[in-house]
Amino acid sequence: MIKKKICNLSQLENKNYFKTWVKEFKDEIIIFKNDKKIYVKSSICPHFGGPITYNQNEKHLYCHWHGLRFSVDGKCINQKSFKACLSNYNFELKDNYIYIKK
Amino acid sequence: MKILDVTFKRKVNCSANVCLWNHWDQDHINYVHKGFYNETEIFYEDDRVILTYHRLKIPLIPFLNINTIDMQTLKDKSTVCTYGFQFGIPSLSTVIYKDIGKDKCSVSVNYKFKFLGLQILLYPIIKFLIRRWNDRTWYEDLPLKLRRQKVKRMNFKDFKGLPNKIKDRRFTGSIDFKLPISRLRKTDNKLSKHPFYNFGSKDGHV
Repeated sequence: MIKKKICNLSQLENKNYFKTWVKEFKDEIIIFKNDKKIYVKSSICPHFGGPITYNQNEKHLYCHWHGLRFSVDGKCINQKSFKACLSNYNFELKDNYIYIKK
Repeated sequence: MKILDVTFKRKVNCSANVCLWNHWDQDHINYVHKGFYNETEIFYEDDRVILTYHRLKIPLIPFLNINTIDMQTLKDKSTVCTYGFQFGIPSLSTVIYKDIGKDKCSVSVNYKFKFLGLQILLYPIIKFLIRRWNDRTWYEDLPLKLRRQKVKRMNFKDFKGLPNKIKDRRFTGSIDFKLPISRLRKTDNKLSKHPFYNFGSKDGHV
């Protein structure tokens, strides 16, 4: 198992999300806060690989390339036939830092 | 009669097939190029041709729109020809993507406009606008191409995502390109809701 320190909680404050490429996981990760709960997901859209961002006003994730929208659980909510989900990462909060594990 | 003939040449750090995919992915136009396009719909597509309707914003005068129907065809494995009719002026754009190294390619874009009669008055305007158009769409598409190249090298599969195991997130083979590119089902896809919409003989939609 790989464990990697990603960010400090304060880095989530501005936009309510933090995004970074994580070389060890060969993935781009998005960490976001929704109703005070923290979520860690892949921010590579499973459709064509587009960038995913969290919209804190509408409380969903969306892809900038083709407009797919995902719930905070990672399920696509605006394309009924699209079954792939945003993959989830386990994480651990220690001394105000978020560590992700895979 | 007057012909405007202008060519732009560039290089990019992605394979020619990634550029071709981007060129044929009409779905991103409504999002990535929304500064220029108000609406894009596909009327017809098959394994060589796509017929699309666009409602375009005119650069510098974005409150004015023009409607155009473009017929785009894959002339050979690296050349895309698009026939259009902007401002009532027949146009042809020919784009050639050539691999020039590992994950690197050259892009040559040639535009031709044929002006007749009073249309000649539009020649300097079109000449000015086409450069702006080409620059802007190029820089809007660039991050998309580079990211697509990166995820394909991580063994990304369309409509599935990255492999679950980190050790499988590596791909060194050649990146495929096949028409028609996969799209969302037409019931879900805004692009294909037009009443004229029709698939060609090879339905690649999933």
